[in-house]
Amino acid sequence: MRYKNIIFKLFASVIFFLITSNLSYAEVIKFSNCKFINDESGKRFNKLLNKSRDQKVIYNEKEALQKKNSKYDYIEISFDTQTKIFTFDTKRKNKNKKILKDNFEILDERNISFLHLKEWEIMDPTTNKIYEKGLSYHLYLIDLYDSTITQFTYGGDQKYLVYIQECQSNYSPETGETNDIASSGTAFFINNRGNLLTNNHVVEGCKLSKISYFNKEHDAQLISTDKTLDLALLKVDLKPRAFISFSNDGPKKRQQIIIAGYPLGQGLSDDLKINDGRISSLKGFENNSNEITVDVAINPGNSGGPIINQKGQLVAIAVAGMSKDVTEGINFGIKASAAENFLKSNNINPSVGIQKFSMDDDKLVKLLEESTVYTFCN
Amino acid sequence: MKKVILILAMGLFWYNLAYSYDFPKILISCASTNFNTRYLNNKDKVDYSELKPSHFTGIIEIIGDGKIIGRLTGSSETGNLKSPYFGTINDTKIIMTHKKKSLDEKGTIFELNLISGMFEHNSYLDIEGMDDWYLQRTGVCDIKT
Repeated sequence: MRYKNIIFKLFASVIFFLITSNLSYAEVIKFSNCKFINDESGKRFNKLLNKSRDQKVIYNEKEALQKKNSKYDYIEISFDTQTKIFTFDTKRKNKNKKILKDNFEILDERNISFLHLKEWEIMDPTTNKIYEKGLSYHLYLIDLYDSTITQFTYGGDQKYLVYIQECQSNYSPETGETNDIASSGTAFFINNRGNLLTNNHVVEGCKLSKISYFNKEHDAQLISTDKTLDLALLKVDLKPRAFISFSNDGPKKRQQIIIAGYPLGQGLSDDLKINDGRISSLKGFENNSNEITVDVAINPGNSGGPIINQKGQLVAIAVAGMSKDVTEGINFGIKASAAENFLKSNNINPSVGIQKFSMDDDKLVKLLEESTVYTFCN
Repeated sequence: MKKVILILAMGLFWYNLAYSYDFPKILISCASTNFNTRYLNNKDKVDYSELKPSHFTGIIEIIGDGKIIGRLTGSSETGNLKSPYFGTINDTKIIMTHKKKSLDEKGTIFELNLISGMFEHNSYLDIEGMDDWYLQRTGVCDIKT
């Protein structure tokens, strides 16, 4: 009987160890690039509004999700399993970023939760007086296997599902270990001292970025990032064969442009892809004046690639495209002027192109081949 | 044998597809039997009154290491009860507070003894010097886990 008891306790300890050991390996679990995949609150809100509407509006979930996702520059969350503190970092377009830090609970090997009690108030804009105050109870459930964040809210005796977000995660359920999120993209040299520009989202979450230049890999040091502009400045210890200078002229509608990059990474092929198109608008998504809209194809992997004019000078940096299943030829680039400000604030004076005439195709291709690189997470 | 494997495979497939974590729950079915009021101008004076047992229910979800969130549902006998509540659980009791407007307020505290099933439901006022409850319901709960 005594031995039976000991064996049972031993067995229970082994099971408990197996459950908890998975999470104790990991240090910081990172969720990034989170996108809404369910908008239950929007659906409920539409239903509520329809009650007072003469003409009912049909809730289109696909459109609603697209609209909701487009409102954010980024949504990230990280869980430090040593300190049991999470950091929820969100940035809405044209708004200040919000950081929420608090303790979280490990429910089991797969799930994490935290409760956020938030005080809110509604102000009368004319009198600046608070006319309503309240406290909201938000419960978050994080599924480490599916990389999802589910938010519930409590109101009265009801519990409501608010939304579900799906993210990229560095957590591997099989090993219980964290890895760098394997992101990759395009970068290009902006001077002969080895400085490169790319998008922030290409290098974000990377412990060490690398570039591939003429079949040789080089470590790239991250000098600075700007999450709002989605730009990152890198440096490698080499003198490039060529670099891209900035255009002195502002972008113009219908202007011909050329984009270089590695769409779909080097999985497609390790050869640099060069396409051309035109500038269709001098503003980006939701009137973003730091961006231009272009009709040239921008696919995952093109991010951070140079968009140049016929003189071989930088006009913009490829950043994002609209979802290809509903749009065609609506893609965005960060204006060279915005990148110029970013570089100046990091004590780098970008070189401005002096070329007066258009370059021929051979020269343009040579310039792009010698200045544009594939960048990836080690 | 093939059927068994098929059933197992289907089971695993559906489990994966339908998986969503369910927070452990404690369900309570309670009856208020007393309603007590403290005099605002004399805090030592309390009016105690017995009630015809008034029924209400509650769902208490365990959302982490000893942390809970609870919802009480009133009935025609109790009227509407405030919710949600946030608090803690250990092996003997549940203490949870409903705060309406700010984290600083004293709010309404629901305390349930998990062994006897007796509860106290105390409402507080945010008035200086008034640290005791001013409204109290007491009674007993049937607890299901």
